[in-house]
Amino acid sequence: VGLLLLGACSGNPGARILFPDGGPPLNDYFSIEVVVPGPEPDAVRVDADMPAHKHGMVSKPVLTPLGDGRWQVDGMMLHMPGDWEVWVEVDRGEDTRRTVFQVRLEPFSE
Amino acid sequence: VSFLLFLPLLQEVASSPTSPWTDRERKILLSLSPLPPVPASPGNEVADDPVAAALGRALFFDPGLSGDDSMSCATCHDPDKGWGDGLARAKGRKELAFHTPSVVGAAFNRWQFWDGRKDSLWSQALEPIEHPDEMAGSRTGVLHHIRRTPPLLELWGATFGPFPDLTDPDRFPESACPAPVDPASPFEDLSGVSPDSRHRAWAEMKAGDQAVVDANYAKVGKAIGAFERLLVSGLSPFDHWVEGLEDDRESPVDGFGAIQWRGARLFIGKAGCLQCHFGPGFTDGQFHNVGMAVPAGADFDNGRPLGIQRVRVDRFNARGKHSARPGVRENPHLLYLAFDEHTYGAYKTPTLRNLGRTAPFGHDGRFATLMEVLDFYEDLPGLPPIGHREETLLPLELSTSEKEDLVAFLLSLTSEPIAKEFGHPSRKP
Repeated sequence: VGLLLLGACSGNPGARILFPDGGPPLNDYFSIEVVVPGPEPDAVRVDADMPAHKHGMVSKPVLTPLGDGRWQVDGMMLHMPGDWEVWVEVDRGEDTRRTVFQVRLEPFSE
Repeated sequence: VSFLLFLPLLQEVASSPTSPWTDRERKILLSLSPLPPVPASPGNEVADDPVAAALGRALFFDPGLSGDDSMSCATCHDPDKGWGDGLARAKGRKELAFHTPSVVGAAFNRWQFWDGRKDSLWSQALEPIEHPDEMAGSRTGVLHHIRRTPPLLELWGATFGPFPDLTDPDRFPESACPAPVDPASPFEDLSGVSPDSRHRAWAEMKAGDQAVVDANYAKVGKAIGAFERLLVSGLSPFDHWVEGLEDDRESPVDGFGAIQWRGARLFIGKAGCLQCHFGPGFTDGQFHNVGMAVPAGADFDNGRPLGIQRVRVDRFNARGKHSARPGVRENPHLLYLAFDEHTYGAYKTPTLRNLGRTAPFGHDGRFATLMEVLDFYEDLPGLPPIGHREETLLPLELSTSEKEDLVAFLLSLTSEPIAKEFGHPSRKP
């Protein structure tokens, strides 16, 4: 299990991510649950980027609606150590809001 | 977990090359050793069967698998050359575009080949046998060879049960295999129009007979895969040194002294190698464009994008009907493949273990020495002809003595060789 060292949230503070216990692993698949309170959105997208590297994940996650504003997201993989931004983007009409969670992964396990 | 407190990472920076390891450095070093047991191979039902490995060993060294009985797997994966070939680029019927990687430790790879077009050791083994520029054999030819070779037939029976009846030459030609899959039109059968007689012979076979051949050809790969899973390095000087670090009795060991110690500090720090070369395998197993891209003289090859297309349509991939465990849970890697601009010109990160025996280096073998590799990362010459170079890859700023330290460290990851007699039934382990 990799190490989740920091997390922050910006944009739409309503969206939440439930990470696996111990944080996201390094370079392995994991699932998260996304919670988007409020009215049913038109669309929800989830992905992750490494801003310093200008690239994202090597996997393309798949979202499954669970109802009540919750989504199961499978196929996440943060393949490199360093600073990641895991984000949730929510469309409602013309409005698009992105919530960003900052994650730092170390190259070792705790 | 809706809000997590922002906790800045306090990076402890060592003040001099001889200062003690920081807690973070120590954790990183411990994460690099030892190698764990090889991961499971869920698609291969005989992956850990010693009898299957004995069959696989016999097949691995058998030139009868090639089209003209001249080449075996061991021709390019020569035990006397670190289970590689020592050449810049592989040489089969002609010189190929890519460097032959050692098969030692290949069982740890999530993806096989430089572009990751195979997703298991057993399915990887099947491609060079039929490649026209490599062994130029065929799946029916391999099965006929086994049928006519009593020692192989005996091992086959002990592993898989009775050998299928392939004696009717009208149904099972001496040499037949499908044309390579065209990723652009994977569902188009090109066998009937190929100038290759093996492909035409395949096209004339009945579907049911083709299925019998495919099912048993998969078993050939699974036996070879079972043998190759045994080719795992022992402890290197670095591993022995880490054993001491783990027990808080750090001291020089044979092959790991002051120069390697300094190189280790550079490796996990200033040189930035850990970005891609982490964990006990010293690789992330992923694909990166470091700016070398298309090998000179190669046919068109864009790296990982073609690898992704090929593995998706590979009839022997982990989700195919020849896989023992084709379910989603066992094979998430095929379900979530991302295909974007960052994959262009990207090739697999090689392991750094056993570099003392696997020169030349690079996916096209363009670097004769490790110092040449470091010189490349120092200069980062030119622009990649396809895609873009990893954005965080900045010119390496190391002095000549620092580069020498780093090379010494890298060479300390080399274990004792695995002899060609390894796995032979007449040899005791």
